[in-house]
Parts: sequence; C-alpha cells; structure tokens
Amino acid sequence: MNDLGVMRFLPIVISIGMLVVAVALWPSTATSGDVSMVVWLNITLLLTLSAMSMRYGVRLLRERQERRPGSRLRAKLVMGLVGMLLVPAIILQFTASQMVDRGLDVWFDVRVDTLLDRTLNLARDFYARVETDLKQGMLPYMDDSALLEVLLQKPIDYNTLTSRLADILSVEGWQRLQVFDVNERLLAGVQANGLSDLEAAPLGENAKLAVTLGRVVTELQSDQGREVAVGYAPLRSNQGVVGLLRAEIRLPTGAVQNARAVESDYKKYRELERNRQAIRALFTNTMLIVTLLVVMVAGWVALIFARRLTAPIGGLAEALRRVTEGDLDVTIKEAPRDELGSLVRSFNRMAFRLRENVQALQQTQRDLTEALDSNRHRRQILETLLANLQTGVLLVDADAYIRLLNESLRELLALPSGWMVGRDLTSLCSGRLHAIGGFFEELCYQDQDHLQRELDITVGKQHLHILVRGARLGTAGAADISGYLIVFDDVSSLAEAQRHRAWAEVARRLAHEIKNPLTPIKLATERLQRRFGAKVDDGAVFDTCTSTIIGQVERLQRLIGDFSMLARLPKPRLKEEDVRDILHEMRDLYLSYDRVRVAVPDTGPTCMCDADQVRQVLINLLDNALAATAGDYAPVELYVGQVEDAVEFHVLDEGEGIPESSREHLFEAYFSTKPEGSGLGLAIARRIAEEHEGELLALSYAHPTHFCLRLPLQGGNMEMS
Amino acid sequence: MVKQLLIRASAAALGLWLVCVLVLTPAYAKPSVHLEMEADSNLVFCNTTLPNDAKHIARVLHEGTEVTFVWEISIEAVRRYWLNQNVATVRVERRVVPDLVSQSWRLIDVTSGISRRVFDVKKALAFLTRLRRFPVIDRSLLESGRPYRMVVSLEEHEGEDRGGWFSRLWGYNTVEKALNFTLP
Repeated sequence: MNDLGVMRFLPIVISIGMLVVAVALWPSTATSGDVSMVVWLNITLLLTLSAMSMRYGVRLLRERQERRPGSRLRAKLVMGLVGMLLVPAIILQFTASQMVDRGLDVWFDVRVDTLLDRTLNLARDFYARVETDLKQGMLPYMDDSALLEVLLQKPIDYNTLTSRLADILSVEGWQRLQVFDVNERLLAGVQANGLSDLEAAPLGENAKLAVTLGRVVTELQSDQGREVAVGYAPLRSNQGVVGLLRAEIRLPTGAVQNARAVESDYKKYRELERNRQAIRALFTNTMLIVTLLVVMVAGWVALIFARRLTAPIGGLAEALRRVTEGDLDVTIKEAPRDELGSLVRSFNRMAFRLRENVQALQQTQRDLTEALDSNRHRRQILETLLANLQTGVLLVDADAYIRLLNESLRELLALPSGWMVGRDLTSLCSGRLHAIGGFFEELCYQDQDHLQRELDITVGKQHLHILVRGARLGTAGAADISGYLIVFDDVSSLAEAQRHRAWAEVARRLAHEIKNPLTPIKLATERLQRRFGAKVDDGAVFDTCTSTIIGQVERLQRLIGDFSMLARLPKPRLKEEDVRDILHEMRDLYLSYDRVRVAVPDTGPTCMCDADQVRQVLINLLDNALAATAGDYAPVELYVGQVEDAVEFHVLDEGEGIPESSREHLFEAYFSTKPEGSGLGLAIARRIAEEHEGELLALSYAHPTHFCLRLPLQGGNMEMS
Repeated sequence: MVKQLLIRASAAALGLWLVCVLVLTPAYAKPSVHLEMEADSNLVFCNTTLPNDAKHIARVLHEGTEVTFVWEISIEAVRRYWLNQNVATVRVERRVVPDLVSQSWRLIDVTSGISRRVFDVKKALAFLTRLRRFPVIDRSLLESGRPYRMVVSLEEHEGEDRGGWFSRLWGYNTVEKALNFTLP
C-alpha cells in the first residue's frame, strides 16, 4: 500500500470535495419547484457518491494495515479509471456552466430589454390612442342638444333617439352606440353591423364613475377574443345628468393580436429574466446530474472491471500467502478464460502436487517418528537393561573405539576414569587389564564370530575370575552397525564353589576310603600294645611305635572328621537366639582360661542363627587366638556389637599376629600355619558365616589380631527352621 | 495516535460546519408573516400581512406576471402530549392579473369569484398581501380558557400556468406562521 502514496487519500479528498459541492448547492428558501427537485437530486447523488468515496477511502486506509490481496491493484485501477473520467467531466461541467452563463447573457441582453420595452410602449400607445380618440369623439356629445331634447321629452321618442344615434355612429365610425337613462336602463342603441343585442350588458364601475365624475371615462373590454374600447360619456343638461352615452370601438384584430403577443412575450421574457438564476441553476444542475450519473456509472463499471480483473490476482495472492504460511489446502475456484485463468489453473495444479508431496512427506515423517519412537523405546529398554545388568557390557566399533560401556563393567573391573565412550580400547588395555586387550585382539583376528575365554583379573586385592564372551556385530566396514560386543561375567564365586564342591567330593571319598581301615589299625595297634607290650624286649621302643601309630591314626581320624565336616556341612537351622546366651556359654566354656575375657552385655540383641554353628565359629576363633598367644599368655577378648541390621562377634588377641605371606590364604581350605592343623577351621568358619548370609572378616592381622563374625539380625533370606 | 486524533477532530469540525450551513443558514433566511388574532363576541378574525416581500411582488406585477396568493388559516386545539386537533381551516385564494397594455391590474377573489380592475399597483399589493379582520371561525366553536393555535400558511404562485410544468420549474414560495392564543 505504500506505493499508493498520497493516492490512498484521494477518495477521501474527493468525498470531502463532493460534500463541499453539496453544501454549496444547498437550495435557499427562494429555490423551489422542479429546480429545487433537481438540486435535491444532485445533492442526493453527491452525498451518495461522497459516502461511497469516503467508505472506499476508509477501506483503503484500513487495508493499509491489513493488506488484502489484489486491493492495491484494484484501488489503482478504480482510481485511475474514475480519475480519467472525473477530470474531463469536471472540465466539461465547467465549460457547460460557462456556456450557459454566456448564453443567458446573450438572451437577456439589454438591447432585447429595450426593444421589448419599446414594443410594449407602442402597443400601449396604440391602445391609449384609441381611448383618447374615443374620449375626444364622445366629448361633443355630452352636451348634444338633439339627444338631450329627446331624453328630456316625456314620453321619449325612441325613433328620433335611434335616428340620432345612427347619425352619430355613421359620423364617428364607432361600432356601437347606446344610450342609458340615469337608472342605467338602456333606452336605445345602434351598431354598425347586424342587430343590437336584445339585452344590454349591465354597466360597470366605469360607467358609474363617468356619471359621478361628469366626464368621459373609457375602458377596454374583451369579448370572445375581440377587444373593444368602451367609452362612457354623461349626457348633461341644465337639470344635471339625464343619461349616459356608451360607445364602443372595436380594435383592429391584427393590432390587438400583435399588442397582446407583444404583451405575452414581454411577460414571458420578464418572467424568464426574473428566473435567470434559476434557469442557470437548472441547466447547471441538470448537467451536474448527468455528470454525476456518468461518474457513478463509470465508477461502478470501473469497480466491476477492476474486481473482475483483480479477483483472480487477489485469489492468487491470497492463495500464495496461505501456501507460504503452510496451508496447502488451497484451490482457486474462479478461473476466467484468459491468461489469468491459465495462471490460476497452473497454480491449482501446483498446489495439488505440493499437497500430495507434503502428504507423502508427512506420512514418511510419521513412519520415521514411529520408528524413532520405537527405536528410542528399545534403546531405553536396552539402557535400563544394561544399567541393571550385573554383567559388564562393552561395545567396541570396528576401529576399536568404545561405543558403549555399562556401569556394571566399570564397577566389576574397577575401571580407571579414562575408560569412557569414544576412547581407543587398545590404548586402555594395559597393566592388570592387559588380558582384555589380548582378548579383543584375538576376537578381531579370529575367523569365528564368537569367542569365549576365562580371564584372571586383579581388582584391588582380589583376583577375579572373569568369563569373557565376545561377538562380532554385523560386517566389517558396514555403515550401520559393525564392531564387537564383549560381555564380562564374574565367575569367581562359581569357580570357588566348583572348587569347593570338588574338594568336598574328594574329601568325602577319601574319608570314606581312609576312615574304614583306620579303626581296625587303631584297634589292632592297641591290642598289640596290650598283648605284646610286656613281652617285647625293648618295650620302650614298642610302646613308642605303637603309640605313634595310634596317635597318627587318631590324627588321621580327626582329619577325616574335618574333611567330612567340610564336605557335609549341614544347612544352618535358624532360630532367634539371644546373643547373650551364646556369650554366656562361651564364657563358661573358657572359664578355665584366665586370659580369656568374654564381655557379656546387660542387654543384648537377638539374631536369627544356628547357635551350634555360631558356637563352632567362635570356638575356632578363640582356639586360634589362644594358640597364637600360648607363649606370652596375652589376653584374648570376645565381645559383641550391633551395627545397623547385623550383629558382630569380635575376637581379639595380642599375639604375634598373622604373617604377611599367610594373610592371603587365611581362609583357604587346607591352609594352616600350625604343624598339626588341618587348615579347615577358618574355611569352615567362613563357610558357616556365608551360609548365614553373613561374613567372617579379618579386621586386623596383628596387634591386635582381630576377627569379626557378622551375622544379619533377621537371618537374611534363609528359611527358618 | 496523533494522526487518528487529527482525523477525528477534522471530521467533527466538518460535521459542525455542515450543521451550521445546512440547518441554521436557511432558518435565518426565511421570510416571515405578521399574524394577529382578533375576536369579538361572535367571530374570531385573522389579521395577517406579508410585509417584506412586497417589493418583489410589485416588480412581478409590473412586469405583467400573474400572481396568486393562497392563504390557508387553521385553528388547532393544542394538545400537550399528542398532535394538535384541527378545529377549522379556511382557504382564501387571491389573484392579480396584470394587463400591461392598459396598465391595469385585475383583482380576483377566486374563492368568491368577485373581481375588479385597479390602475394602482399598491392596491393590488394590498389585495394580495393583507387579510384584515378575516373571519375564520364562529367563536361558539371554541372553548374559553383552552389553548388554541392559529396557523397561517401562504403559498405564493407566480405566472399564469399555475401547476403546469413550466411554472413548476420555478416552484412557489411558502411561508408559515403560527400563533398561540386563548380566548377569555
């Protein structure tokens, strides 16, 4: 709309101009009749056009803010067409108005004025002359003796009177002559042609005036298109007025017609002259009506033409705007049969294709979104699975860069902070993790898609037995998924359990095979000792040998008992036990040892445990402590404590402690630092603790040597007996 | 904002100007009729004169154009909250026909049919523009103390062709005057 510039105010200016013209045309009180009607018609047209123009102007100004497609072109067309017509119309109106003014000046020229005045004066002079002649002619007869004599006679001699009147008529050349008495009664009358009227017309005021004034009075009378000059002359005698003489002169028809024509023309001319402004107004307003009608029709036609021309363009612009805003459901219905129509149809085809393409795109997008959602869902599941999986998972791409690493793997192997996504795996596998690099290298270069190995990896002070399984993903070099998936499982417990089971089986079989001959050996040896102890020469050697045999057999029996115990350790039978009772029993058991101090609390917790097995563990620990402190009589201490949801039995001694080399194997079976030890005590104790879902810990290896048996208060997930 | 204020102020000024021009100006230009009411024991009379248009009528008569005055006198009973009630209407039509040739003017009372000729235009003017003690209504038809309204309207026609298209072009003047009165 900006390119319209000042033109957008043009309709409002035209509207105001028309209002001003309407006000200027407003009729005054002197204006009436059809002129007034024409003026009012003009004013109505002007006000209508003004209102239409104002409305259009306001709409143009409004469209300045809210652009409507095609409005600018339409406005330009309408204003151009109306302007093209308005300018010549105004010029034509002005010219016509000037011509009317000039024409009126010519019509009502002063010479015409003068001419008409003179002509009228001529007519007046003619009439005046006739009346003057009539007056002059009648004056001598006012005192006519012949007439007076007849009138004064009683009775009147009508023949003489008529004869005298005929004489006068013939002398004067009048058309009619009558005599009335003082009572206005017709006495006699003659006329030039034809018979007299049987009944005389009544006398008018002029007749009475003549009688009253005593002089000749004339008047003009019209009768059946004829005009006559009538004169009244009183007949005077010494006795006063005795009668009235009435004479008529018929005016010449031609002269009368001319005079009346002059009068009529004069009247009309003067009437027109008086209404000169009205005539001018009539012409001007009529012209204005025509002009306004033409402008109105032209404006209407221009508007229709502009609408028809711009409607497809506006529709196109609107449709393009909607397409630009993303609304592709656009179809232009009206399509003229011309180039614009062709353009409209092309646009419709384009919009249809766009709509189809967009629909296809939208469908694709929906499919992709669904796939993405599904993929995201799957990924979430996978991530949750990986996060909650106890198994360590490592995903490595074909270039050995880590693509995924779950938290379980990080915790399992206590991976350094450098292990993260995007790092090169081969560069990270050093030191204790070197085996992983080797496994990955083997996985990469082998022919099979899967590889499984068991690796021993040190984590802290623990040696974990890790089952590593690797798989090749996709094909090498493929764009989508290619690389290796490596899964780590800690099978240390499993291996240890397998080992324990194997040992237990061995122990059970050994015990079974060895235990049976031991008893006869022992019995036979005792029998030999009893029977032949006194008969042998060297009894001392005999006793020593037999005693050795019996001692070793007993030792073997104990060893086999421990084996059996380890192999057939029963499931704990859990009961709610008062910890203080256990401590009381232990105190009573070791009462003979002054240096064993058992601290029994006033109030103690209860825990779900198998009291016999707990006692066995405590006895084992106390025996070990007493053995370790046998030389220096150092005190041994047993006390109990409660930590959160567990109860702890602590055994301390101030012995020399456990050597550094033995500490790692402390809880292993068949490891013992004592010459006669089976090496199964702590192993059995730990197994009992584990069977209770507790743990046996060496908290300190020297000064003091401190062991702790921790048992859950509620007995873990084990079944109660 | 300022632009809108200017546009509104301009529109208001234009409207005010239009009201002044269209309504007030014609009201001041209207000719007036002098009207009086007179009553005796029997009749109610009307005295009315058109004082300020005589010069124009004299010119028209001198120029030979026939002039007709149609007086219409109405008596209305005034009603406060409703249209007035018409009690009586009297119509008087007077015409002066000039004769330029004889320089005389025929005075015609169209209502009664009486006519006479005068040779002085002043008499013709007086005949047309004045109604002296013109009886309008019998007093017995009006109530004492009740407000009435006398309305005189005058149509001034010029030209012989009264009612014809040519005379319709110029139309005729109309004047109206009202007078409230109450009979004792």
